[in-house]
Amino acid sequence: MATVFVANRSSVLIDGNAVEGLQSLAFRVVTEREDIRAVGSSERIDVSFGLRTVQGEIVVKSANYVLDTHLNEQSKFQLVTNLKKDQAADAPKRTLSFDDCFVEGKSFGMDAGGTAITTYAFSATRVREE
Amino acid sequence: MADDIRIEIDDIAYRLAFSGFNKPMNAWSPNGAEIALQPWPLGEHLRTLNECAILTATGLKLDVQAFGRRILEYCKAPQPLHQLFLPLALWWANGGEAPKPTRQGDVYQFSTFKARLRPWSAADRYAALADCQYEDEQGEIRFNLGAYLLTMLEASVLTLDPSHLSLAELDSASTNALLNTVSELNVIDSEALAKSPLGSPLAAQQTLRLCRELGWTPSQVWSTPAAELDRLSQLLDITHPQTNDTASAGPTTTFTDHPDTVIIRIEDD
Repeated sequence: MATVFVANRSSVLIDGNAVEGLQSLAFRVVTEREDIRAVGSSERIDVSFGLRTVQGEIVVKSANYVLDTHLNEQSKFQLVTNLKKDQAADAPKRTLSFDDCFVEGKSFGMDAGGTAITTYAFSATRVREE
Repeated sequence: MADDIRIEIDDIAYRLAFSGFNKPMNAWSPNGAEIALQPWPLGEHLRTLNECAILTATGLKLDVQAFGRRILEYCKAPQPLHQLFLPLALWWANGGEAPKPTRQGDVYQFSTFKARLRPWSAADRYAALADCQYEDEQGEIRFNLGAYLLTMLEASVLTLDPSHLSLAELDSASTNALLNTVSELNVIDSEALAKSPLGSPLAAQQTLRLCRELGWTPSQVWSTPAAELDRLSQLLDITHPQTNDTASAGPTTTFTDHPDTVIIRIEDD
């Protein structure tokens, strides 16, 4: 079951600039893994972990030209999300930073209200929570 | 007249008075102990296989020690000599290196006999599989391997020449050669097919297309002249044009379906 957060007051910044019309941001951390075998044993004797990367999707209303440019030019950017439930000073907040992001693809769709939405698939080197 | 030969098995050097696997043989160990081995018949071989083959999660395993002891008990060898002559008993039951028979049509010429063979049908095999499975006292499913192999042999061996020969009395060398030949007829070598030209993607696609459209078996397709196959394919293209099958597997998995995905939904004010 995926973990779902809902943030009422939030901002997503790409290289410090806000993303307008953001609907959702989803991400998962993917770690390469290899089981180590040994002759004479039917069990693995150890596990070797490899690259860890972050795969994500950003869903925006209509489209986002900044992300389109990053996709066309295959350029790197940083994504910072400041998540806050409401405007109260003591409302819980979380900041997630995605480093060395690349946009890898995009797809189009329609949401329930008939508005066009664009989904941008991206990958990042790491995600940090501050 | 028996040949005096020496053979080393599992680092034990035996001396044998060998006249063929269909005749009794005397054998001596390095320290002078002697036993007489009787011809090991197919019937006894399959019965013993059944008792000593165990079905495990990783496949069939043979309890080699138990199998060897059964051979020596059959030959009435003294019990204290069983451990010493166990490797020789296994060699005796294996029948040595069986040369491949020569073939003319469906008649196979083995070293000491001829046999008319045919592949068994799928119906024969399903019936044998169903008949040879049973439940033991503990409720575990067991498989009667000996009975299965005997059913396969009885279905595949049409005649034996000389006619007085019976399957159950064949000696170990004949058993080995016959079982190998019948298994080759009835069991495919899937690795060999995949590696052969007939297993290439193009050949597989065209073969299956003709099998589906015409109700043929792969053997019928492969034995048809190539020009005839081309004519058939062309006629099929006219009457049943091929369409590209686009990927239409079940529901596709989206990124958010993964259990470890974190989703942040931004709600409107």
